[in-house]
Amino acid sequence: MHNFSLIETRGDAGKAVSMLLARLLEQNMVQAVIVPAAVPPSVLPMTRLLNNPADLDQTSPLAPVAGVSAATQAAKISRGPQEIKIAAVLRPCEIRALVELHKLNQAQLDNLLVIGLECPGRLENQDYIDLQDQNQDLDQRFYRDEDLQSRIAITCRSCIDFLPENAHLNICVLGLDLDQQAGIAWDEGPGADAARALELKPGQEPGERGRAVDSLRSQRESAREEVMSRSRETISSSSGLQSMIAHCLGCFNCQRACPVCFCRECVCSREAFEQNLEMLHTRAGRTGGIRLPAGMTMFHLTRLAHMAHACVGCGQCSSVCPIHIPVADIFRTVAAATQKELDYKAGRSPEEPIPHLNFSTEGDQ
Amino acid sequence: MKEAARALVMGGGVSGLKAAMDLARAGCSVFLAEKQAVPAGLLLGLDRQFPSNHCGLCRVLPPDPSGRTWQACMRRGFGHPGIEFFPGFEVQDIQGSPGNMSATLIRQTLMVDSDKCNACMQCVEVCPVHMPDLFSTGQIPVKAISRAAPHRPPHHLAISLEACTLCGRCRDACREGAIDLDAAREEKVLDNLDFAVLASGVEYCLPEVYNLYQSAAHADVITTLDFEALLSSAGTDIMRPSDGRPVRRAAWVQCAGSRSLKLEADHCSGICCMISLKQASLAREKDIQCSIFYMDMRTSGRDWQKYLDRAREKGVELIRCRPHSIEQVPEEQILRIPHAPSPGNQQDRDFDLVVLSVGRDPAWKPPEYAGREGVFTSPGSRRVLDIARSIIAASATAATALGEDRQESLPDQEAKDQDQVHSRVLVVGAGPAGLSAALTLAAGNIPVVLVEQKDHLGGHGLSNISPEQRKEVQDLAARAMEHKLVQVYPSAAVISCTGPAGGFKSRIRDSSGDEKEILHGAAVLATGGRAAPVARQEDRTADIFEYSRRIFAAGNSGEAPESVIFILCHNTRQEPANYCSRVCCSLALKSCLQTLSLRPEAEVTVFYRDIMVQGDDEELYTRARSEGVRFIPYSPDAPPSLEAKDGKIRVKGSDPYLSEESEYEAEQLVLAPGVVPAAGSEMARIFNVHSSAEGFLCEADAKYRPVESGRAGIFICGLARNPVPFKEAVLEGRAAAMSALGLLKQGLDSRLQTFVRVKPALCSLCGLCLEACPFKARYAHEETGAMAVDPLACRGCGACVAVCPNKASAWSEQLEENVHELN
Amino acid sequence: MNSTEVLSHTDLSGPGGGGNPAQICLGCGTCASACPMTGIEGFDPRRIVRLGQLGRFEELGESSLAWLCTMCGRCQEGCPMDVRITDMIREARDLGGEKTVPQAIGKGIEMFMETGNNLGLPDEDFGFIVEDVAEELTEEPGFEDFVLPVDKEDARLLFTLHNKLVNTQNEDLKHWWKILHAAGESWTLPGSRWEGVNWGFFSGQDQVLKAGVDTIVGNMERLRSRGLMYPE
Repeated sequence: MHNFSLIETRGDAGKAVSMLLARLLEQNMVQAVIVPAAVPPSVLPMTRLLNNPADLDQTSPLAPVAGVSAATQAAKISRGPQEIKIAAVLRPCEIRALVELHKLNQAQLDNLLVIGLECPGRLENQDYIDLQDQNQDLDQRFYRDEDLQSRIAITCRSCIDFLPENAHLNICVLGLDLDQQAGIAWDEGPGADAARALELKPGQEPGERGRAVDSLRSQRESAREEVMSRSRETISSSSGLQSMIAHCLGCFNCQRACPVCFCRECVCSREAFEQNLEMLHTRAGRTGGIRLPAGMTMFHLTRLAHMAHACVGCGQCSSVCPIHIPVADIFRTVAAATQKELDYKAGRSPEEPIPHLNFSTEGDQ
Repeated sequence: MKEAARALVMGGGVSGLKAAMDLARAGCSVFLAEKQAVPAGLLLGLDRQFPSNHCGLCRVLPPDPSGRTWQACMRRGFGHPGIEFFPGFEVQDIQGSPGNMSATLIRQTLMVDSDKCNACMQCVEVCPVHMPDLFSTGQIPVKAISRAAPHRPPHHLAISLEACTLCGRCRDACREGAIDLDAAREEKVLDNLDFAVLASGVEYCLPEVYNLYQSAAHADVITTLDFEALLSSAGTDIMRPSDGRPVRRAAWVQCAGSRSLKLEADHCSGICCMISLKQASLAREKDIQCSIFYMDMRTSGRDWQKYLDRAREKGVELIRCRPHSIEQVPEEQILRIPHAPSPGNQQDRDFDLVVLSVGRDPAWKPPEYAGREGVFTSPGSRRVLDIARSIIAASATAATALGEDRQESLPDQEAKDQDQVHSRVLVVGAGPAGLSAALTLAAGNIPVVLVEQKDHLGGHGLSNISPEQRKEVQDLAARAMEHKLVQVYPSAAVISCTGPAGGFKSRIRDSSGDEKEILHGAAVLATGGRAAPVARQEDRTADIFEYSRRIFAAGNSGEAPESVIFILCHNTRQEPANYCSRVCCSLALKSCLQTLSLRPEAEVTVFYRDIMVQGDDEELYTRARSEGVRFIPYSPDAPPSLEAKDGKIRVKGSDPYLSEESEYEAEQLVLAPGVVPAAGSEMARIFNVHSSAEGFLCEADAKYRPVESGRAGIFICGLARNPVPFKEAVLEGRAAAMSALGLLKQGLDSRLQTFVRVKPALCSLCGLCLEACPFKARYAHEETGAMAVDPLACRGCGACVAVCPNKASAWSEQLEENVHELN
Repeated sequence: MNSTEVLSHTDLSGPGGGGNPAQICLGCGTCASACPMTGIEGFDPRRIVRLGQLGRFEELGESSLAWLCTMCGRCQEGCPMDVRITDMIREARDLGGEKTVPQAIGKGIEMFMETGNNLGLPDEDFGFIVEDVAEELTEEPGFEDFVLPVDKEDARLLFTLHNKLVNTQNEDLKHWWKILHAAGESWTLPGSRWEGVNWGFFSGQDQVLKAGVDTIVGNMERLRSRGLMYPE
């Protein structure tokens, strides 16, 4: 982004950002805000819809956690009446998912003021809850504590797309001492309008930031390479894939948690995948017994076939799996190959058409 | 409830099938007699058709009203319960008068009982009778008992009774008792027929009979029909019939058995040029050197010039010379064709295979009963027509056969309450095509709204040079104005059209400027065409249409010029108007003859690239030459140059036969710039159908759906679709009307149509299916909050089913097929 | 009718009768493909027909094109439009007039018209030559009683002769005379106007053609021969 401004945080970056959000409401730039907030009795920040500036006090925009991918809810509410403009604080993977959903008519990006959060990773939900007990200012400490940062979700540890794209405003945390300052970045358009409303003056972006980003990226790239090559090897054989999903319970959590799996009801849970006794009995005879529920490999393969081109690598699927199957590794590996083949990157641009849906009547009949 | 008309259709090739379908969909009770065991006629042997070079075999599956074809097959339900099919029977005689006709059918092919037959082929082994096969002129040896359609399953066997000696060996050899020779004598009589349609085609010329090119004894000289068989059976190489050696060099000789006064064959079969181009193009793919010996390249369909260009790009060699004979050189095992491609230059070219491009047998005549009252002969059973024109002609013949009187005996239009099909058709354009369409529909009890841009009806038909055709159009116009089912809007225009097939909503602006809303189930677009513009040299230039009108209206020799020069294919048959307009050549020839008849001493010269007359119009060309019209060919890269000087037009060209520059002077210059569509692009925009780069409306399928646009319920005909002469425009109008009529009368009978339904609960409105549908059959339905399918537009192709992630779209008759069952 | 009229008339009647005028030519090239002379000195039957088609008869007559033709007739036999090309060429030859007739043929015709044979050989000399050969033949065993019939009346067959047989190849006369003798055939040579090669056919001059035919018919009537052997 071209414009950058530093804001004072006075030891509480989250609060500083909340104040900005409140001012957006006050200035009527937006009529509502969705942002993570932990309102008692909850200690886990979850997506909250607020329209009163005074309520921004209780929000935790910088909380290093995502209960579920906020993209799903952001998409839903973006289809609402246009008179209610909403600011949405979203992580980079959530924005990417939102872009993909926009292409499938599941979201209307125009109705949102997207505020992207630079993301060094999120903690798993339970870990956050446990750590919150031990650390009162977890949200603030996380950004300077390497030990805390090493506890982020496994998928996040190999994520290289930690800078938000396609947002109107970015909240910048990398390479800065958050106890003193945080950064806001924006480009022309709604972002600039918002920046004006927030009376942000563009200034020099500290060089330290670039170095911090590069360092993080190179760390993550080698981690990613390792994860990918390990996964590639394992799933390149049918038995390898089977071994990875051997414990699959058929709970469908991964499908429900996935932000780009947009179907109201997954095909795999409907008649087409139903199994009757006759069928099962026959197959059991052939394969020496059959695990119930049957067809879970089919489920994963089907989901891959449908969604590999759109996988944004958010890792929620691995996070929610009760039996800790590294679903995200499978999906990210296949997605990387698929998207490369189609010369496509999920979430890169709302204008980029979904690749396998280009029908053309040209050519020699 | 009135009784349905009983109609006999003779011939189960593409024409007969189409006529039978049209009649059945209009409500008739149809009896279809076909000599062979399976229908499709010639098409069974044609794997690839021009201009797509694709197979079209699946498009003529036999009528199968049982619905046993696979659910997703586009041709499912091609059959119709109203058609009773008599395979193996030929009509021998027809007696009686319309309404009370009877036909005697005799068995020509005896079918083996396919339920008992296990295809062991013992019967074929023991059969002593050899005969020429069905698909070519004898290249593939078959026995009297053979597979009815050798190249597609199921392998039903059939006995050709023309060849069978009834020796009984096959019956005795059959262990399953599947052969009953007693049925060979079977005869059927069909009574109380209202009318009959003759669609049994024509016979092709057999070169041996005429010893064409002295080649009767050469095994490696075959016909284009034989070559089709080689093409389809060939794996990688095409082999010579004589010694099985792969063919590396092949030649085609055009006009074999036609365009010859010596053979009393002063006709052109019209499609042989395209057939040879197709065969040569396909042979090029196998790396065979291909040369075509021709006189005129008659590529006069809308898209055929481009096909010719592509053939040239693929390396097909065109040699403009007719050979005298094909010599066999036994020592070298080749065939040699001496020819003179340019004056004073004789060459020999050697080939492994020579293909004679044969057309209609000069000695062939239609059967005797063709002339009876009540028997309607489809034009495809008088002369050779390509698939598209055969289909159009068949539909038009069905329309004529139904006529106005017989419409009384069709069942009333039953309101189909499901899906609200509006029983009304909007016809846009009231020229010969539009008027024919309107009146055919009205005769079928379908109300018509006829919109015409001008303040009068008749279009170009009113200025046609033939007084008979002018009268025909005037009659049509008068009938349209009087008919109680036809509502005419002159000086009007269509503004918009929305909605699905069966439920279109169009807005028109009438003569007083008011807007009216019309609800209709289908539309026929017949907006016509006009002459392409020409650049004028002083006053002395006219286009062919102006000149022809003038010369035919002239009363005395003083009104005819002393000298006139025609330049055909002027600025056309090359980019940007790279197509042949078909009508100019015959019009020019008629104008030449008329000029000479008014003024016998007139000097008439025609510069041409190819003379594109076809069929019996070849006689016009022969007459023009014999009456002294000079014809000078030119090539597009060296067109004749024009100059206006001293009140005359001077045209310089070169005479290729004398290899000299020639200069001609004339009082009058006539240019033939071709025709262009009048409102094609505009209609395409309003009705959301495709149009070509030149503005012609595009059909759903160039061969098999020639008068249907890509969008269900919208039909196209006449000059709006392709350059056609008057008679054909009338045929197309009728054919389009028959298709619309069938659509409206059949409505949404689910036995006959497979389409897709959406489960609203599952649909997330993601729009993937909208992108995927090639037929524009899907739209967002406000009420259900889900996608909806236009059942009349939907072809059941299944693209949307495939693309929808949660199978919210499914075929209507499909039980939820289980993924796990697929193994 | 003169040749111009014949060529342009809609009912061209050559020796075969029927046919169509040159105007009807399609330009298809069948004739040129068939012709053994296409390409020799620019010859092409299409050119000839084309000139006729365009009404350029004078040019046709003046050019040497028409004289290159061998009169084999393949073009005419093959022409799909039934143009009598060979006949046309003959007419074209006549059009040009005597000045275009190649010298050898012209001379031969002149001789023929004067003397009844293309060599201009007097009848007396003819008699000597053939009698000489006949005498030689009687010296061969088996043919001692051979008598050469000349101007014999009421013979079954009248023979005409190619002038070469009386000129340089007269030895060849013996071969068929032997056959006729052995067969006991009733035959005769005419003593005068014996020429069998009718160059009026080649020159296009119908009056010469007719004269040649008249000669033969005259001989047949004079000698009351019942049949004609016309080896040319």
